[in-house]
This record gives sequence, C-alpha cells and structure tokens, in this order.
Amino acid sequence: MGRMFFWMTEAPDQTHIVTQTWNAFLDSMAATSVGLIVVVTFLIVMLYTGSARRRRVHVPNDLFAAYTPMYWLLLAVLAAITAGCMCAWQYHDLLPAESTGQLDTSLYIGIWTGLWTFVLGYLAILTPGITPAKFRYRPLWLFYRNKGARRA
Amino acid sequence: MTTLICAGGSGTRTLEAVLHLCAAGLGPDELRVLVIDPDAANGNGDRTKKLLTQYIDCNKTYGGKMGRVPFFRTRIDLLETEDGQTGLKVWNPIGPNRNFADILNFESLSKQKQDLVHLFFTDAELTMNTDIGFRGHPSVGAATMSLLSLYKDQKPWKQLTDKIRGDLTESNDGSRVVIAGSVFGGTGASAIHPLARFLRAIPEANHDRLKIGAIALVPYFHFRPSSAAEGAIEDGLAAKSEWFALAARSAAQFYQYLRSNGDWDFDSMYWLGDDSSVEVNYSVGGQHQENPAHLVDLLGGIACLDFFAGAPSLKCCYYAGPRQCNEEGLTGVNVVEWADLPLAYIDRGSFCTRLLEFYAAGAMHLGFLEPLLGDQRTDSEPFCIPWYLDRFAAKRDYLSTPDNQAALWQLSRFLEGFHFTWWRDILGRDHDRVRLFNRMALMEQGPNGVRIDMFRLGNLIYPERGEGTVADVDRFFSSTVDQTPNAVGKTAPATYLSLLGQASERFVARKYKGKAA
Repeated sequence: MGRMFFWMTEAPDQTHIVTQTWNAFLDSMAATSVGLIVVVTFLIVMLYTGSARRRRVHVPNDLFAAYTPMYWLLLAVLAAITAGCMCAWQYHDLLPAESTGQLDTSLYIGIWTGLWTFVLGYLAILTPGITPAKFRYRPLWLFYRNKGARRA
Repeated sequence: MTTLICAGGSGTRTLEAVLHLCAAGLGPDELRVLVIDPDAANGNGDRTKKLLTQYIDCNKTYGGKMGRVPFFRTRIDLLETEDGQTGLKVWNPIGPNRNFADILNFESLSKQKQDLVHLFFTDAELTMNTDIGFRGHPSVGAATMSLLSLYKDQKPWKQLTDKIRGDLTESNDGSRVVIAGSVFGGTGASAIHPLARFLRAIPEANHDRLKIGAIALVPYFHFRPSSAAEGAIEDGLAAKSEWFALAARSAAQFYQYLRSNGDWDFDSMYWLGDDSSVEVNYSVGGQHQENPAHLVDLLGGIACLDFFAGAPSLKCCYYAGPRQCNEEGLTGVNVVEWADLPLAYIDRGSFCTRLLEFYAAGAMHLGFLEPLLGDQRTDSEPFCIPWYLDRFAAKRDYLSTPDNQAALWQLSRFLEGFHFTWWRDILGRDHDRVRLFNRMALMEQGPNGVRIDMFRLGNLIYPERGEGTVADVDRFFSSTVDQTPNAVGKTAPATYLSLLGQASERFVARKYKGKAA
C-alpha cells in the first residue's frame, strides 16, 4: 500500500533508516492517509449537501451572492494538516531518532492527502443530485463564467 | 366561432371581465367583440378600451406561441365601423348630435302619428341628449334598437352578419353569440331583445347552429345624486337608482311573457345580480361614469365563457344565488366562495386552478423575475440562473434587449396596471364577502397599479393566514428551474412566459393541492 507514495520508495536518510522499516512506515502512512481522505471527503460531501439544500432564493440578489457551500472543500486543508502532523508523529515513533527528512516527508504526505481530498470531494460534489438544480452551475463557475456572458 | 356583444356600460364591464379571464387562458380560441353604447366616452368604456389594447398587444406577443401554456391565447376580432374607428368598436345606435326625434323623423310625421308617438314618449325623451346614453329610459333605446335592420348593410352589422353566416356553414361548432347588458339601465335593457331578434334573422340556412345567450344583469349597485363628482350635472332625465328594482322586475316580466308565448330567441339566459348593493359615485354619464369592477362583472364574464364552451341549448334561464353568511357582522350579506361561482358546463376544478396559476405567475413575474431580468448581472453572470443560461444566454438571445424588454413590459403593465387592479376591486375593501383570492396579498403600488406581496405567494387564496413567509419564492424559483426543458416558445419573451406558466402550474399543484376548486 505504501507504493502509492511512489516518489518516496527510497528513504530520505538511507544512512539511518533501514528499507524494511521505511516500507512499514510508508504502509502505515498510506493507511492513515486513505482513511483521512475517505472520512474528510465524506464529511465534505455531507456538509456541502446540507449547506446547499438549506440555501434559499428569496430575492434576486440571493442568486448572485457568494456560493458558500463550496467553502466546505477547505476541509481538505484540515485533512492535509492532520496527515502532516500524524506523519511527523509516526516518523518520530517508528524511525530512528537521528533520522533526517521528517519535515519534508510530512509536507509531502500532508499535501498529497489534502490534494486528493480536495479533488475527490470536488468530484463528489459534481455528482448529479448532490447540488440542487437551481445552483447546478455554481460549482463549475470556472467553466461557465464566460458561457453566454454579456458584459457592458 | 364566438361573438360577444356588449350593450351599455354594464355590458362593457362584462367584456372587461371576459378579457381578464381570457388572459388566464380560459377563453375560446377566437372572440369577436362589439360594443353598443351611445355614451362612447363613458369612463368604464375608456378603461375597457385601454385594457383591450393592452390585451391585444400581449396576445400578439405571447398568444399561441407558448406551446401548451394558454395565457393570452384568445385572439380578438374587432369589427369595423363606418367611421373607421381603431381599437374597440363602439356602435352608436343614434349617432352623434342626434336625438330620438331625429331617428323617428318626428317633424315629418303626420299629426296623427305624432300623437301616437306621444302616447309612448314624452317631449323630453324625444329631445333628450343621447350622447351620454339612454339614461335609464329603455323605451327610447328599445325603439331605437328595433330599427337595427336599417343598418344591416352598414358596418359593423354587415360584417358581423357575413361572418356569422360563414361560421354557420364553415365552422364545425357553428356560431355562439352572447349579448351582455343590464336590464335595469338604459342601453342594456333596450338592446338585448332587439339584438336577439336581429341575430335570429341572419341565418339563411343552418338556423339551429346559431346559439344565442344573454347575460342579464339585475341591480347590484346604487347611487345618490348628492355624491355627484365635481363637474357632473344633475339631470332631470337621468337614471335614479330607486327605479332599478322596478325596472328589473319589468324586464323579468317581459322576458317571462316572451317565454310563455313561445317568442323566446335565447338558447340560454343568465340572470346575475347582487342584492348587497354597493354604492357608487353618481354620474349622469360621460367620462365621470366610471364604477369600480364588481363581483357581478366577474360572474357575467364566467357565464359568457360557460356558454362559449358549449353549454347545451336548453332554451332556459340560469340563476345563481349566494349562500347567506351567519358570521358576526356579515348577516344578510352575500358571501361568495370558489364553490359558488356559477359554472354549469366548464369543469370547476380546472377553471379555478387556471385562474390561480395565472395569478401566481403574475405575482412571481412582478415581484421577483422582473427585477431579476432588469439586473445587469443576469447577463454578465448567467450561470447563476440555470434556466436563463440554458434557454437564453447560451443562444445569445438575451431578455435584456430593447425588443424583449418592451415585450416583457407589456406583460408587466397588463398585470400591474389592469389585472391585479381589477382583482382588488372585485375582492372589495370591506368585509370578507368575496372569498376567492386573499385581498390582503394585494399591495397598492401608487399610480402604477397593484402587485402581490411576495410574503403571501403561498397564501394567495382566501383566507388570510397571517403567516407571511418568503420561502415560497424559493419553491417557485425551483419550479422554474425544473421546468426549463419543457418551456416552448417561438420567441424569447414567449419562451419566458411559457417557462413561467409551467412553473406556476407545478407550484400551484404542490402548494395549493386543489384548494382553489
């Protein structure tokens, strides 16, 4: 499972870290990372769905207001921070104390986790039925903002 | 083919009601209209002319261009008159600057014949100014109208005759004609019977395919001369409301006499009135004679459409009576609810539901969509409004263009300046007599007209529930998004109104669940 971190197959500090230990560490981090991605993505989708369905249009201005349900995607940052912290902790516990590369590894795994959480969360939001029809183009505003637009 | 002939001011108000009902899609495919009124300048007629002009504009823009949405679908056929009038044609049986003595060529009659004329008419009646109508003297009007056959080769009668003959031979449904007027006034009381006789003489063949109905309005308002508007002149020949009941009784006796003696020209006759008589400002006629719309106008309009829809020819009279209310403060007052509307042939449920759908669509247009479409962001960020992007902006067919805005303005003007104003008058200001729509939902908008309070979009039907919420705007808007694929229109404005109509249908079905019926 650790092979998902394909760019880290070799330990950053090969002087102090044995390959077997490094692989065990990667396996552990992969499980943690996947677990975080699944949980946080699920959380993002649930919170987004609830938020989008509670959103109401009462006056014309409501249609043009900032589409705040998308902000739940920022939970991916939380996933990234959590993954990075857990990586640092596991690095300290599982690998020799004199090993280097803790910060870099934590950053890589944190960013990797955060990115996958964001991407999967975003794709899940685009699933038909998740976003109410009246806001169906809001999650894709980057793609639709110029479509049919006429500016003075 | 259907024809509506309106006699006098009350008949003209029946036309007003018919137009409002046609706007909601309840009318026939085509309607021929003619007004008979010596008082061409009366206030009610002026208001109806403006309404008709606005309706025709909407019909040209939207009618028949919206797929199954029926709003404004009835096409109005305005006959031509000799004097080349445009718009609503008003035929004057006497003509300008003439009096009844001129019609009879009284001065040329022999002394014996003049004495005979004096048996029926006073000198004052012979010489009275008829430019403001027959003023409650149906004897003068009836005698004038009995000479109708003298005009059969002139417009509009020649045109009407030819068209009716054409209907009888070419149309699958034959020809249905309704004559509407009061039986207690002047023009209406004098015109109904002579007109029916004239119409019966038209067919050269297929006599049975000509159906004639009459809307006979009995007293529903009264006035006092002390309430005369500034500029109105009290006239000794003017109608007096204390005579109305007697005049109505005389008319009823006359028509009963005709029925008893087999001289009955009508396939159906609808007697409508309201003994909870409303007081109106006194006017001898002319521009000062403008009474607000009344429930009886609506009932007359409904009766017209019921007849046009194909009510069977039973050679009978229809009567509609209210249920008396025993609520405190309303004893002795006639209360009218949806179930009380006189519908003998048209399905009540669909009729009432259609009225509500048009009402709700109009409310949403004025209160939400019109401001939305006037917002610059609608064109610059169309993705915020899915149906606007899908059906308009993506095709570069913006509703903000001058032509499309002009079309939408026609709709707005009709709704705000005429339709909701009319309903405000119908629903009344005092008591809870007319329990159709919720009058608390109507908001005065100054000189522009009347709109609907968007907090009551879910409470359009009586009674007022006092729980105003704007949540129903969201429900309606969601319906517009859901109906986007179903909207059909030959032009952008027609597509818009089609979308609005279908969304309204869905919204009413979910929110009101048949409460209107």
